[in-house]
Amino acid sequence: MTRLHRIFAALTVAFTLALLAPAVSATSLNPFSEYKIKAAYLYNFTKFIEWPPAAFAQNDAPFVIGVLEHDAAASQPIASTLSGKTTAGGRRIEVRSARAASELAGCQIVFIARSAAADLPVALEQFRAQSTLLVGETTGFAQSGGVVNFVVANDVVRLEINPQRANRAGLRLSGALASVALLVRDREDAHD
Amino acid sequence: MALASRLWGQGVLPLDLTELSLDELGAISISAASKHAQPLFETPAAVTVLLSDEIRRYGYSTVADALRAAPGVNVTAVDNAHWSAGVRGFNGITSTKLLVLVDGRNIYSPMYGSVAWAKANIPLEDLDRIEVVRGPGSSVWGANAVNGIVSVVSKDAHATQGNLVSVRESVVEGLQLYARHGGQLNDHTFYRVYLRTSDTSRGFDPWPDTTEPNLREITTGFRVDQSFHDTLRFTWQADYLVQHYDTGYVDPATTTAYHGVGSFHTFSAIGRMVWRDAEAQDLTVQAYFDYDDGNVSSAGYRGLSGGAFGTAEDGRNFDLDVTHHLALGSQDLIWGGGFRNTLVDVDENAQIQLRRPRFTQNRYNLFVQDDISVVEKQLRLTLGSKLERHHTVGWQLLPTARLTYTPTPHQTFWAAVSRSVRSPSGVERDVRIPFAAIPGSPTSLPVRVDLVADGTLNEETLIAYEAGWRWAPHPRLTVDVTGYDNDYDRLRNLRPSYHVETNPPTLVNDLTLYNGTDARGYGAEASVQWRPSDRLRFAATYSLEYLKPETSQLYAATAQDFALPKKMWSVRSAFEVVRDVEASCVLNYVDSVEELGVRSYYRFDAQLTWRPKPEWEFNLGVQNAFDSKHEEFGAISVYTAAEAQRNYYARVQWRF
Repeated sequence: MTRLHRIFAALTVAFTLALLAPAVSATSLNPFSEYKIKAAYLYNFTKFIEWPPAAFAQNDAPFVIGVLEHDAAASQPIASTLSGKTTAGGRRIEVRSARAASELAGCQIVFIARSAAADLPVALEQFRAQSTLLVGETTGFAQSGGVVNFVVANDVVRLEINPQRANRAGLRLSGALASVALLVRDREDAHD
Repeated sequence: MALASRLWGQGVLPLDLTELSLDELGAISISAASKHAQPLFETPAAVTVLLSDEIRRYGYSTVADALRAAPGVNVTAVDNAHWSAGVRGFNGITSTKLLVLVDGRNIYSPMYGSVAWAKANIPLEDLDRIEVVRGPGSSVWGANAVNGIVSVVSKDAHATQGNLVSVRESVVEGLQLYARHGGQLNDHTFYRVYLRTSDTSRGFDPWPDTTEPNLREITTGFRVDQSFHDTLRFTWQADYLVQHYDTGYVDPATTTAYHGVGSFHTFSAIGRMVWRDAEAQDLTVQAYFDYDDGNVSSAGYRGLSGGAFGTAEDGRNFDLDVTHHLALGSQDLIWGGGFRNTLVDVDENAQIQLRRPRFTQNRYNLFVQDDISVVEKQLRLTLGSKLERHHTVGWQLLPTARLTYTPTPHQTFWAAVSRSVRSPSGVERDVRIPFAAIPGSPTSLPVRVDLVADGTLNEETLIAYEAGWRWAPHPRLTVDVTGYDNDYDRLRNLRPSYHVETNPPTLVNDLTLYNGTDARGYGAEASVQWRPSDRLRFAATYSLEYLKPETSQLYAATAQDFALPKKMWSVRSAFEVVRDVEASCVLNYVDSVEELGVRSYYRFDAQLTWRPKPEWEFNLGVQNAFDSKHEEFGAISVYTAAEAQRNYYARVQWRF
C-alpha cells in the first residue's frame, strides 16, 4: 500500500467513525409520508395489474386492500390516502387491517407491513391458491415468496417485482409497471 | 453539489400522491412528500426536470438530444461527435455560457471556455434525470453558470440491480450495444458495472470515400452506493470514455475542406458522502478527479475545431466541494465552499500559437444562501451569494435575491435578480489563430486576418432579472411561464488593427479579443404538462427570445454568440394504444438563424414501444421524419457542419 493509499484509507475511516456516531441513533424518516407514497403505489397496482375475474366474489364487489400489521403504523395513512378512491374498473377501494392473515381472506392485495414480516410463511400458505397480490416492505420479501416489495433507498420508494410469482398467482403485470421496477427471482430457499 | 430542485426549495402544495404517474412516484423523495411538496412547484427559478422514463419514451438516444424536450434549449448536432446547446442565446459552436454538471462533476473546459458535451453522454439506461435551469445559477455554482445549468444525474446503484442488455441499430447512427450488471456486496453496499459501445455516424460525411463509421466510442465504468441507517450515504464512481471520430475543417487561407481525425480519452473518479441528521441538517462532501487526453489531426488544419468542444486538449481537474444545510425554524440555511485545481496542456501546431500552452489554475469559493419564510406558507425570500476567486479575474461576488409568493397552494409567482460572470478561457487570453486570407494581386498585398488574444480580456458580466408563474389547476395539469431581461456588460468582441509583415509582404489584420460590447437579452419561455388519463399524456413548450448587442461591429467569431433561433416550440404526446404497446411522437420547431445561415426546420420523431413481458422491451422509431436532411448548425469559417438526417431505428432491451 502506498503512502497516499494509507492516508486516504485513514481519512476515510476517521470520517466514517466521526459520522457514524450520530447516524446510528437517528431513526428512519417520516414513516407517515413514506406510507402515503406506498399507498399511491398500491392504488397504481389496481390500474397496472390485471386480476382474473375469479378474484372477485361478485361483479360489483369492492377492491379490498388488506394490511397485515401488528400496530397501526401502515393502515392509517394508507386508508386515509385511498379513502373514496375507485379502481379504473369502477370498484370501490376498501382498506382493511388485521393482525392475522386468516382475517384477510378474499383480499385482492395483501400488504404485509414491517411489523408482521414474520407472518410471510403463514400468509403464503393462506393465499396459495388465490389471486392475491402479496406486497411487502422488508429486505428479500419478493425473493422469498412475495410478488412486490417496497424498497426505500436514497430517500425514494422503489419497487422490486418477482414476475414468476405474479404469474403463479394469475396476475398480469403491465409493461409500464414492470419498466419502473427492479425484477427479482425466487431465492433457492424461498417458501413455496 | 446540490441539485437545483433540492437547493431552491420545494413547495407546500397539498398534493394527492395518487395522481402522480409511476415515474413521478419513483422520483418523489419521502422528505418532500412529508412537506406535501410537489417537487419544483415553488422553486424560484426556471427549472425543468426530465425524468429518464420521459426521455426514453420519446426515443432520444443521447443526453444532448434529450435536452430538446426542455423549453428554451436550442440543441444542435454539429458533427458526428459534437453537440452544442444554448439557453437564452449564445448558441455558438461552443456552449460558452452554460454550465454542465455530470453527477456533480463540472465539464466546462477552462481552456476553451465551453462545454465538453462528450463527457455528458452517459448511457440513458443509467440516467435518472436531467435538470435544466434556465437563467443564472452563479450564486451557488459560480462563474460560467451565466445563462443556465444542465445537471445530468445517474441512477444510484440500488436502482440498477440485476442484468440488462440492450441493442440499438439505426440506419444513420449505426449500432449501439449496452450491457450492465448490478449486484450487492453486503447489506449496505450496492454496485453496478457497465459497458457501452457505439459505431455511429449521425449523418455527417463530407467525404464520400470514407467508409468507416464516423464516431466510434466505448464507455465503461462502475458505481458503488453505500447507505447506513438512511442517514449516511457514500457514492464511489469511476467512468472511462474513449472516442475516435472524423471531423472536418476549412483552411481559411485556401478555403479547402480537410478531413480530420480526432481521438478523446477521459477518465473520472468521484467520491461523495451525504450525511443527514433527521431533517434538521445535512452535509455533503464531494471530491473528484478527472483526466482528459484529446487530439485532433488533419492533413491541413488541426487543433481548433475539436478544441472548441473541449476535447482536443490534455488536462486534469481536482475538485473538492462541501455543502452544509441547516433548517432553523423559519429559515433554511445552506453554505459551503470549494476548491478546484486545473491543469491544461494543449498540443501546439503551426496554426494555433499559444504563449502558455500549459498552465495550472486554482479556484476557491465560498457560498451561503438563506431561505427565509416571511409570511408562513405564502412568501419566501431567498438571499445568497458565492464569493469566488479565479486567477484571471480575481475575486468575484455573485449574489442573487429571489422572492416566492404562493397565494394559493395551486399557484406560485416568483421573481429573481442575480449577477453572474463568465471568466475568459485560456484560449481567449492567449491565442493567435489565422482566421481568413485573401490572396494578393499585382496591385495589392495579400491580406491575412488573425484572431488574437492579447491577455487583456476580462470577465463578461450579467445582471439578470427574471420572473415566473406556475399554476396547477389540477394535479395532472401544470403550466409554467417565465420571462427574463438579461443585461450583459463587457461581452467579448473583436477589434481590428492593421500592420504589414515584410517576409513575405502581407497586410495583417489583427482581430483582437476585448470586452467590447454590452448587450440585452429578453424573452419568455412556457411549458404545459397534461396527463388526462393514465394512458395519455401531453407536453408542450414554447420560447421566444431576443439577444441584441449594442454594437453593430461584430465579426464572425463573436457574431455567432448573438445568433439564436428567436422562436422555438414543441409538442409531444404518448399514449397506450393497446395493452403494453405505447406510441409516442414529438414535433419540434426551430426558427431560422440568419447569422449562421441555418433555415428553420421541423423535426418529427415517433416511437412505438412494446413490452410483451416484464423482462423485454422493444422499440421501433423514426427521427426527423419530415425531411431527408436539414442543417441544425451553420458552417462557420473554420468548420464544416453536419446535417441531421431522417433516421429509422430498432432497439431491444432484456433484463435478467
